[in-house]
Amino acid sequence: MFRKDRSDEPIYWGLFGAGGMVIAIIMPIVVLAFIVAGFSDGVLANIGHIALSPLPGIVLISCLILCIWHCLHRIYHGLHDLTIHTNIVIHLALYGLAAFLSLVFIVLFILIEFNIYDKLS
Amino acid sequence: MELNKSTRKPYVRPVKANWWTNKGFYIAYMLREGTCIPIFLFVLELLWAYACIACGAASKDPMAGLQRIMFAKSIIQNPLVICFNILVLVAVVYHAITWFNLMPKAQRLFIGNKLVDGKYFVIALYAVTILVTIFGAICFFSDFLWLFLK
Repeated sequence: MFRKDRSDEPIYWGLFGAGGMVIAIIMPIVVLAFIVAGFSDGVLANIGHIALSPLPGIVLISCLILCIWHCLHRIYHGLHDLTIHTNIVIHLALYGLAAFLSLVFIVLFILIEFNIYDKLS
Repeated sequence: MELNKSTRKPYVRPVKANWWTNKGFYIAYMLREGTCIPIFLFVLELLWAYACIACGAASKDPMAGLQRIMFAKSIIQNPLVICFNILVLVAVVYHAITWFNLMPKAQRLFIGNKLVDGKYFVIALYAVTILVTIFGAICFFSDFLWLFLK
């Protein structure tokens, strides 16, 4: 980003590729589970128990973070197809949003798993 | 670099934003790129539900795990959200099919010096997806499967 002779594209492309794999392999069953959870309290509770336990929680959150990077990278390059030419402002806005949302996921994970609020109160 | 800068003024043909609407191949391409928008909104929906659970954890009266999870109920069981989730499922499946089909072009796989035929690569990816889906179904729907086995 700051050095003109080296591109930062490989980092985003790597995250894009990883996110694409996650969406293709893991997300179909996750989305299907959430559709079923829309009709069944039992399945919702089951998903919640899985998502709130530490190890599966880390796995699911990593997947969702990779999805965020994949989607925003695709939007960034898709803007060119819609004849909107990207510049440094759009670059920082989209990848900054991805970094921010990743951070929010990690903070919420820490708040939930370590019961921070319960310890404060 | 400035010395080599060209002084000619080439004509750049203007491109309209709807250039892709004429041809089926281009529409399929733009739909593939467009799958990222519902998937992104789905991730935001899950983030919202996750934040609701975190707020449940924030209340002074510590609740049982199950009750905390039910804070997400108002989002996940909203009829509009269920309809949207079905759209997301279609988008995810379309993404998966296109992603697997272009994978041999993006990544060539060698065993020794021999190039592996792309179709085996694609079949392997579909097989992994089916295995993950079965594993996920057992995890997520274990209550239902238990009823089924009884």
